[in-house]
Amino acid sequence: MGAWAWVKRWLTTTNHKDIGILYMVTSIYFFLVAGVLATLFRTQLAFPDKEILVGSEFNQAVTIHGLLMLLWFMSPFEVGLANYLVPLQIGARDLAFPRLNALSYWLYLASGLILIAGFFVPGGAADMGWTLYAPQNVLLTGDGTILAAVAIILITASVTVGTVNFVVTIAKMRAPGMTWSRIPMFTWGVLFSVLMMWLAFPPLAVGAFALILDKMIGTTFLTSLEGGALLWDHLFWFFGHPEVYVLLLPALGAMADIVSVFARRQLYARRFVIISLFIATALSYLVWMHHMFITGTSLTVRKIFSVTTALISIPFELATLALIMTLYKGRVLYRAPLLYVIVGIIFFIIGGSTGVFQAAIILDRAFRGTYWVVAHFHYIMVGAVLLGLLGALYFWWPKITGRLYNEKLAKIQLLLLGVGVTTTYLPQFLLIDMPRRYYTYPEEWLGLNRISTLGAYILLVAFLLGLYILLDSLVRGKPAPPNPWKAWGLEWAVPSPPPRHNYDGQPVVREDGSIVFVPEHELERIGVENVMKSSSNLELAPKGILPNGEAGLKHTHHEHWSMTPMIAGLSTLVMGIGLVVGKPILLLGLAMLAAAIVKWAIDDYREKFHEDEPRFREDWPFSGTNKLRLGMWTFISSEVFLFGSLISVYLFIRSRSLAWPPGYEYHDPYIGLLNTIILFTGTLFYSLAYLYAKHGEMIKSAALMLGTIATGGLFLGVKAFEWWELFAEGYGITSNLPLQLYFVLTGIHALHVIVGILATLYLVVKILAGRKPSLTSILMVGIYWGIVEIVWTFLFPMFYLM
Amino acid sequence: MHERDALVYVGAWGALISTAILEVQLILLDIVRNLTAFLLSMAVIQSVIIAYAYQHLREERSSTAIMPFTSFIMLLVLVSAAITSVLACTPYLG
Repeated sequence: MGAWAWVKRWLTTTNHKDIGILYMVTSIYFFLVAGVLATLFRTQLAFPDKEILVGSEFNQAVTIHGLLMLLWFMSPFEVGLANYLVPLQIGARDLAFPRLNALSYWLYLASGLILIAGFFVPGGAADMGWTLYAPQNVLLTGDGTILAAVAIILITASVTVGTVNFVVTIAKMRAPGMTWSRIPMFTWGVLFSVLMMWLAFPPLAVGAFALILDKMIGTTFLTSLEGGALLWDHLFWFFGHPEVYVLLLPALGAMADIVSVFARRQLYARRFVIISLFIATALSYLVWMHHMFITGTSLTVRKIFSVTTALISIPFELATLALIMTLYKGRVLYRAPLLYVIVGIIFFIIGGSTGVFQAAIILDRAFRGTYWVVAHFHYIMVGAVLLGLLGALYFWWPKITGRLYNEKLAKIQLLLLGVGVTTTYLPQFLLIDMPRRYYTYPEEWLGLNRISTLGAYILLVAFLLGLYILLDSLVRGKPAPPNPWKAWGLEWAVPSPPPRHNYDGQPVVREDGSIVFVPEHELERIGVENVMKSSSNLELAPKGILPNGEAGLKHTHHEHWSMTPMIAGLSTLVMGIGLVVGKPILLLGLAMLAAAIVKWAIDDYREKFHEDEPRFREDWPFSGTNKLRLGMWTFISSEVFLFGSLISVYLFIRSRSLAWPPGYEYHDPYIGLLNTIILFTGTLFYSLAYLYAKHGEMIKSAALMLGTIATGGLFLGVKAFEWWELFAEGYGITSNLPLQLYFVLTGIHALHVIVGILATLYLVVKILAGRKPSLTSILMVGIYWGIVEIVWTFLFPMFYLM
Repeated sequence: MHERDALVYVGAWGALISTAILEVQLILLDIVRNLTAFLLSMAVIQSVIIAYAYQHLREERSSTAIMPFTSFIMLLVLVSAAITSVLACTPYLG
């Protein structure tokens, strides 16, 4: 492959394996940046009388280290592994929406670069700790905080798109016979993880948006008494606590698969472990307020969250016991991936058991903001999650690269990591009185801090050794066979590395658990049921059922190269930087984004990236829904939560306000009612348009869609008139909290109306040009209009009647 | 055109417009006691109508419908916990 072809591949790929590699490489880069920052501030903490990194610079290093490690390294590294492995593990050719998958990656890259760019702007990067607490995040920080908030919004967009992709892929694209009970634990972990991201990120994005507005145009959501710290706490921790499990579950899933393979037996109590992790996923949304025990909430609320926090430890205890029991009952092969997992389990038990104390209200008050919490958290994150992920990397490395690694060096690295983690974090449990985020401290804590810093340097050496092992493997590693561990997952049934199209023929998991690859026409002739019922010894159709790679078939999966996701992603990078650098850059970014959207629409118009849904698949209980519909509902549900978070901001601020003017003081209820009727009428037009399209009367359908566009435009016109009137009366966006909320919420809603109009216009153009859009795509836009309308049913009474 | 579907759409439109007019009139006549609870309940009712009729949630399998339903339930948890934390700790609200 020539240099240009190589560059083109990585810039335009939409293949899930390529995207997975991009994610992993990029996340390792962010890991190195975060690691260097950690080494720097640990060096300062070893010499508290020196000024290596002091004041805001120390705080910036701590803040960006935390944000990068959690949001731009660990989670994306898991997403990278998931990108590579999930389709292979379930028997799919790719993720459900490959171009969106690429967009997800480019948004992630852009967001990380924007966060780091904070170091180079006036005032430096965000410096109030990774929790970005209010009101410090508004009052005491420079432009880097704006960039951090933009980065958070972009990574939320990336995560949302990724969530839709993984949910639909796992639900709708499994190979025949890959029932829910047969899905590998890693894929289960990924599914639970994305289900947590799905609703946890929107409130964080809302908080980040409020932060940007407060910093840039002077609103007071996070600085007023009515909003302020408590509002930020809710928005942040509703995301923040599930995020821990978002990181933990894929790692735990991978650990379970590794234990199972090297113990040569199925995971002990597998079904109970899956149920436990599902319960943990649900409970993860119900524990966030234990981070707010000292905010003065009522004792009843604290008791409830104390109980839920204690409860959530139980599923993880069950999972840990299952891992141990699998090893106890198995014929264990002590290879490097398993050793990483075993050490990870030990650290998980230490980190987990020290975390249970936080559930007790009184202990939580005592430990809060001390190094005890830092130690507990890092035992989980570094000790359990990172070691689990390194085990996973070594486990699947031969599959991904087609090369074996140096087993002895990997074991030495583990030894260094074990010593490093213990030396770094164990002393921090003993620093129980020392507050975190201070660059200097009294003499009495010096010894333990120096031991901790020594540990950090050992960790640095261990990670550098890890990089060497991987590079050495790429350059000099022996070729890996398809299945070096004699594992039994679908991904091990294909060559290492797998071909770009994953499989020759259609994989089918038979009832006895064996896997065969059958050409589609043969599968049609024989029947999926018959193939599934056949045993591995039965030659049902010798010419039809072949081991993978021997079918000699031309694959039907398309490559789908596209520059558009990259341009869209980079446009957000330019816009983000433009927010603090100046308008020309911002406008350039906007122009790039507009170009990317137009190109995306043109590609869709030409059906350039159309791919049929898999003909043979396991998709219970989603068999009646096509992948676009399921994807749209998953996305819309996330949108519901985004708007719901905005509405909860309104209700929160209002319930904390001493006085609140009635809606009709600023707005005429009858004008609001008029706009409500206009919007409802527009949606009626659209629904009738869908009905006509269903019966093939496309011109009537287009005419009704034009009616929807007209009513949407009218709605915006009335809204603009109301805004103009308020401005004319001397009010502005920052006048008072009721008006701040009005302008922001109705402004965001108006943007959604514009998007609805553009989407409808696209359908009209397609119909008039004689290219009949699919009924599903017409329905998708209808579902979108529905959500625009639903949001208005809340905004109208909130601002005009209450 | 399928009459029954059209009837559902137009019926939903009528119900939405009627409820919107009703809530404005009831508020302006100062009849409603608990304003916030009343208006939010009306908004929820209207949302259900829209989801059922215009978003065709009625045609979806329950496995798909569970997605927006879960989102709505979790939203209730967030809102109620956040509001409870305010009502329980803000002294001037008694």
